[in-house]
Amino acid sequence: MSEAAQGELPKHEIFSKPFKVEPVYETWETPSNYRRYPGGDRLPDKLKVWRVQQLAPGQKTRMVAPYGAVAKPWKPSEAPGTEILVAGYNLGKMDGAVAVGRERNFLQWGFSAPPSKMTEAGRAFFLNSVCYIAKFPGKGSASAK
Amino acid sequence: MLTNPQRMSMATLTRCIGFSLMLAVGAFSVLATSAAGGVDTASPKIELRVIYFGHPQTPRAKDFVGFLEKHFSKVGQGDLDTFRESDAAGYDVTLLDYDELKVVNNRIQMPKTVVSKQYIRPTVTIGAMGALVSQQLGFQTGYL
Repeated sequence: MSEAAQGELPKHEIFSKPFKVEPVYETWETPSNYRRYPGGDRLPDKLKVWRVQQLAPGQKTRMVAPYGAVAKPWKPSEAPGTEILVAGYNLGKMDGAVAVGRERNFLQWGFSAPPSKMTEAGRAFFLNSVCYIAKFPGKGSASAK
Repeated sequence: MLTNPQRMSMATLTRCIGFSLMLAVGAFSVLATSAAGGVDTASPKIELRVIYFGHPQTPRAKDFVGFLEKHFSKVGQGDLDTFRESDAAGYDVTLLDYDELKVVNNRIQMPKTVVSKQYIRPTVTIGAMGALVSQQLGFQTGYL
C-alpha cells in the first residue's frame, strides 16, 4: 500500500472523536493494477486521496518500507461485528482494498509509519482509532471469512 | 466635549477592551485547535490506559510510546516477543506493532501469533505484520 487513504471520509465518529480529522485531499493517478479487477475499466483516470503518512517526502505513489497492507473489501452487512473504515490507495491490489478496518475487538491499522512520520490528519485518525476500539471489549465473535 | 480625566478613562477603557479581545481570541484559538482538527498536545490527556508492544528501545517503539504518552492518561509498554494475553490486563487498549514485514528466501515470514480467538481485549494491530496476524485469526481485515 502507498501512504494515502483513498476517497472522502465517510460519516463516522472515528473521524471526529476526540479529534477532528481534516484530510488534505490530493488527486492521484488511478493505479493501473485497479484496471485488472472487475469494474476497473470504469474507474476515472484520477482518484481523490489523502495522505496518512509521509515516509518519503515528495514521493506520491511509491511504496516505501516498512510496508503497509490492505485487506480484500468485504460487505460489512454480511459480516457482523466488522467495519470498513478507510480504503488504501495501493499499487498491487484492487480499488477499495481496506487499509483500516475492524473485526470485533481488533482494529487493523494498515499504515506503517510511526507517529512522527504521520501527517496531522493521520495522527488524529490514529488517536481516534485507539479511542474507538476501546469501545469493543470482546464483543461479538469472529466472522467466517 | 470630553474632559482630560474622561479622555484618560476612554484610553484606559480602550486598552482594556483590546486586552480582553486578545485574551478572548487566544482562548478561542486554544479551543478551536482541539475542535477544528489537529492533534493539540496541550489538550487534556484522554482517560484511557493503553499499552504498546513492539521492540523496546528501537526508534520506532520510542516514537510510538512518546506520542501515546502525550495523549493518554496511562501508557505502558512491553516486548512483543514475550507478550502474553494476560499482559493486557489493566489496560483499555493494547497495540501490537510487529514493525517490518520480513521476507526470507522470497517468502513472507509469518509472525508469531500472540493472541487467540478467545482474546477479548480491544486491540490495534499495526502494519503489514498486523494484517498477517489478522489473517491467521481468520479476520476480514487479514492480509490480501
